Amino acid sequence: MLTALTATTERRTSPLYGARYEGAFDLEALRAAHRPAYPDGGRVSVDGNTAAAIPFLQWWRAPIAAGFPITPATKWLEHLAAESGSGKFDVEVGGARRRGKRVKLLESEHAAADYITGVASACRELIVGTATSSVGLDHMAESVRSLGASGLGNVVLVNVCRATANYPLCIEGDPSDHLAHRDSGFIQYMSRGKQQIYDALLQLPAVGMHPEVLTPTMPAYYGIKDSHRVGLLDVAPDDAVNAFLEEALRLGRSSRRPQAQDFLDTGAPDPEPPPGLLDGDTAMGNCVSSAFFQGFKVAQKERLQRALEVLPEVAALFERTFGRPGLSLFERHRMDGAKVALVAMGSDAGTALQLLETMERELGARVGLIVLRLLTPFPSEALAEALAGVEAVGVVNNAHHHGRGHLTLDVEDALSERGAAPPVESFFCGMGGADVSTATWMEIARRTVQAARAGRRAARWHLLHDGLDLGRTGR
Amino acid sequence: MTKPLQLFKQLALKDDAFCEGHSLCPGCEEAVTFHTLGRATDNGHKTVMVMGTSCGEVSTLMYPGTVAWGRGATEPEELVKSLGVIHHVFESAPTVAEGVRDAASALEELGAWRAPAPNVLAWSGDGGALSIGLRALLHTIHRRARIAIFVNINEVFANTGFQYSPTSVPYADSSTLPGGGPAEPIDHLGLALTAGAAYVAQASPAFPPFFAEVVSEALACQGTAVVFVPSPCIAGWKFREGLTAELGKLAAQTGLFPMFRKHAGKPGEIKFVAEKARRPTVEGWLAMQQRFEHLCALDAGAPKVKPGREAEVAAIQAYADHQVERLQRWCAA
Repeated sequence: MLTALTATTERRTSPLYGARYEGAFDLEALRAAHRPAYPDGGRVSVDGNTAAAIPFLQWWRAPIAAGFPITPATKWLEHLAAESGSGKFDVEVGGARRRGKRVKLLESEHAAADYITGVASACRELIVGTATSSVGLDHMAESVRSLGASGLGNVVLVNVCRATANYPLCIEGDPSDHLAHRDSGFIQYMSRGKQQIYDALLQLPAVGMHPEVLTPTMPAYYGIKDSHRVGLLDVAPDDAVNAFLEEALRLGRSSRRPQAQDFLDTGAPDPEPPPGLLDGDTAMGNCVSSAFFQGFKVAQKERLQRALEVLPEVAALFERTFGRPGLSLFERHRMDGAKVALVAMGSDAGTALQLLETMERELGARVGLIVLRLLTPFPSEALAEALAGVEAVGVVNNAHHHGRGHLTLDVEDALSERGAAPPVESFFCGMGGADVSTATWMEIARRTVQAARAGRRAARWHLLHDGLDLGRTGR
Repeated sequence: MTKPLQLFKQLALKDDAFCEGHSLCPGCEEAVTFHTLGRATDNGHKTVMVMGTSCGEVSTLMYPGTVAWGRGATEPEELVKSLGVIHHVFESAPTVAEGVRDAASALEELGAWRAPAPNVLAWSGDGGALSIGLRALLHTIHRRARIAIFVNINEVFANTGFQYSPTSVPYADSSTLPGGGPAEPIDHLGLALTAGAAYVAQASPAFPPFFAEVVSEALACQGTAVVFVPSPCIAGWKFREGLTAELGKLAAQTGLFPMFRKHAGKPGEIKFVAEKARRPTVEGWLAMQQRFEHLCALDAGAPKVKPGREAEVAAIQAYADHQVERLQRWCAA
């Protein structure tokens, strides 16, 4: 019954990657075998984990997903498992009934990351994902950091932010897990609300798989506050989701810039996309000496930085296609003519957004808000530009940090590029998913306005809870 | 059915996927193993090889030196002759290989891969598979992944410089356990069998036809095949050049690492181990290696146990005898 493909594949050799056998995969057949999850799209009421799972059901490029349960990410896996096993994706191919979607249950997060490495490297045309959280992300760290450097841009690792490190154990949301992996090499992208979560997923693989980027993506949202709360979501029809993705992937294929030099520091630009293990005569994950290592790191960094330019191109296409905002480097609210700016991220930014007018009225100064989305590569230049003209910046950190806060360091770094930088007040609040109340936000704004008026910050950092300073202000 | 010797001869005519450019120690048995894998995978199926970190990996995938994998001087014309090789992390070769297999199966079942189903091989050292990666090994077997797992057993963590491994023979000197300790090696064959492997074997290139046959059976296996390859380590065991095959044979014949194979549900078989009365004792094997020089050395060509070390040597002998009895029980299980 086996039919050799030798007659229908064509060998394309490349100085960088060995050879690719064109025609080894019949992607048209894979597309045809897809049974739509949402043929007509529609408005649904879902939690954040379900919103993050739906794209994996809609993409014909994602026949396999994998995972291991951890609170608060488990529902992502449960939803995919229930849907995949429901029979609605079953399809008849060559006279046999086949499962169109498969969910692999591994014995640990580490194994889940290893497994998706195998799927992604076997066929670089597939999208393969998993979801995890907190110590789960830490448990897979070895594999995650390897993936970050691998060039496997078809890996999507959904991280549902949750406090890390036991002593004490806390299952609620803060981004300490995510921020500990800023140097793991992924494109890290934060969302808040169901629509942002879903829309980000639809677009990110086109950024990661862009031939000049070839970097895996790590979409994220806050655990409990976003993973477990239910809200309305507009789901696009499968056909539209897949047509958009194909068009977005073509953006990269028609690029006139030289291809990213994956795994190499020298040599001519390679016009061929890298092969996978199944369709290639190729080697991945080689061993190098110090004389060559830095060249690989330069290439990795260049690919990551290129995402800053590719992301807006994909976003523009998304906006044209769906009429909704696409990926952005960060959100900006009431920034025109703002005296001070607050920089925050995640679910609680929604509270601040509702308070901006109240803040101006009560404090007598216009307060703008920037909500960070793209974390790595950090959009320093664009952020510095957005903050030009404000007299003080208040940065809100929701994760434990040894110093002034992860986000504070990035914001300070961005501002320092522009010379005379305004004072930056740094705040900690909402750690372990603690409520960031109206009183807390008002206090953050008050202290930031005060810094603008004084021309300097009052302290290295402040720790607030329900508007109260916990008396441990950093000096 | 092709006889082992015939099969071995046929294999020699195949296109090898292991080529020049590796930096394994001269005389290392891993090179022979790799040549056998390289030829056995020239079987009309595309090949994917997943390597855990190990000396087998760092010696064959060094950049910018020649990657020692690939069939022929240039990339082959035909997809089915091609080889994709990946190194990921230390402990996960079986799990990464499982991902490769599942991707291939999904594509095949959904009509997107029409070439013959690929050979998917995982390669680990004994440290990678049985120490840091025991979880990955057992669970990949437990899930019945259709892959061929090869575990090189040289009884030390060779890649990091010859430290104690859970497969170390009792009282073997190593850099982290000077003079060795009393612990017996982990029952790797029993673990693989009870985890649910469809095919479990222990085979050494020191017995070439048997080895060729086991490799071919593993590649043809429709479930998880696990092949443990005992492999003398020149630098780790510290022995004289030219003794690799001899030590490999003796390790099997003494009962320390017997040649063994078992298809699930069928009786297993132990090969090249004589009945107790005619079986070589361990002293000869010990005396050829400097890692046992505190116990036993050659004296005018004959092994001689050091005075006061009789108990340790007896313990090693007891382990060898015990291992044969244990395997006899696994054969019948």
